[in-house]
Amino acid sequence: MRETSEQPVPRPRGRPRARHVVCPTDELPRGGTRLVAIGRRRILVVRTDEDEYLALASHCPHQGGPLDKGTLERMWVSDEVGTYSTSRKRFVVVCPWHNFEIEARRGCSPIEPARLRVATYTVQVEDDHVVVYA
Amino acid sequence: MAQETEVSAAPAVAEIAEPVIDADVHEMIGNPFEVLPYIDEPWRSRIHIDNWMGHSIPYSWPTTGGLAKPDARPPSGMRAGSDPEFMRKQLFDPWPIEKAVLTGLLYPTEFKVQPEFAAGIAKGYNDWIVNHWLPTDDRFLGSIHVAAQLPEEAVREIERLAGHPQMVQVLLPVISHDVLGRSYYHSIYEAAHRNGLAVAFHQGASIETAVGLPQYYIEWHTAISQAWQSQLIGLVVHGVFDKFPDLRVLMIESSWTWLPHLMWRFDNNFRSLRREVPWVRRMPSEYIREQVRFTTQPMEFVENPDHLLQMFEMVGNDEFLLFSTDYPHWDFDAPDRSLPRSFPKELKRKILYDNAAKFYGL
Repeated sequence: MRETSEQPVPRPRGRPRARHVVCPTDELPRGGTRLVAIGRRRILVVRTDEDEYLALASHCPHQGGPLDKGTLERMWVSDEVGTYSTSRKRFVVVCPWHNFEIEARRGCSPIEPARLRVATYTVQVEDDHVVVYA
Repeated sequence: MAQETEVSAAPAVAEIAEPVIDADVHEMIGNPFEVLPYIDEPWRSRIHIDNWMGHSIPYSWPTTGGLAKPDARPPSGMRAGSDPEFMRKQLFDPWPIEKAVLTGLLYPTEFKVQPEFAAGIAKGYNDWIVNHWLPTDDRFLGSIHVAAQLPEEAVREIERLAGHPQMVQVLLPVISHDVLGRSYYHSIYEAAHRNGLAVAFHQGASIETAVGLPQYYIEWHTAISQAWQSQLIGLVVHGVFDKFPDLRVLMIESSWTWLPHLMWRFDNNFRSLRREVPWVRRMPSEYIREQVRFTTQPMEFVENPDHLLQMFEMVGNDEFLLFSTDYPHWDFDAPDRSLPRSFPKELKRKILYDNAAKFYGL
């Protein structure tokens, strides 16, 4: 899996997004995740160790496993058999039920992006608070 | 629609006129003294009635002619498959076989000891093919045999013979004691790929099942497809197809109806366990669909042939299957009788000819 294989980030679609304040930024450490319930939706807000904020639906597209109970990782990549390195820019949430990977930025499987995908949301910092538009 | 179980008393007559490519024909050593001159010393002297006398599976055959079908034994009384002229009469005269790929049955890669001896046997055997078989008929195509346990020697052997116009592939047995996809063997795939050769896997004498060697031949013979499955998984997992994206691989005599299961199971494990093998870049089934082919024999004889037809949809294309007879062995499949009559004509043509022609670039 090479670094260059990432596809363009899909634009958020569907209904207009409402603003939701998640938490003060200091309550979501780098490399951490936070589950937010907005109506019936469960949204996983991610803060990467590079201080990038991302948000995606917390239901695994495979069997609905709770992504918020999984792990956030830099995606493992390699250009040579037997070698391992972590991606510079791709982060995955690993579902706790079957270990399927979902890319945090794109909301889809890195190997089957068209088949396995979930909604993604705009998230940003406003006045030292994490704000998600969903 | 059920496959026929009764036929008329009329003698078998070929029912196909279109050309056929047979992807699995076994030339066999009848008289060892015919091969000995091609084997270099010090290995030649070690082949002797009181020394090494070959490598064979440990079972006796509960069949009418042992390993071979009894009517394939040539008039000389020598071993079936040992006489090029008789083979041509039995295989080429009744059926419109345009090309027949010789696949041998003495596979030095599976020798577990004395690797230099194995490489010496491979070289001598190849020279026997080049001198004794290929010149007899340009319909014969050849396989290059190697001792993969010595990859550098194997590459030299490939380089030595790749230029022969009738050599089309490198042949490896589906051994049960190592994974042939490992990086250790990659130079062999590189050499095959670089020389425009396919790599084919056939069962060898030492092949075992998931329970080793079960007591009865029928147990072993039913379960040995596990070895091809394991080697196919290994080729994907160890990155052979990522490294050599144009490499063509053929699984010979593996049976093929297990393929949908393996592709589904493999893909699903990859979804879960990709992180263990991040050098694998695509879904396993994609590599298999694009780069791996299978031979028909041993063809299933199912009650409802429509079930076989459905498998092409499950696999995802109709190009993965190449016809083969396995002549002269006891489970030989006839070109005109082994495919279900209900298969569409176009599909039959692809299986009998087009798929192999495309695979081998003929």
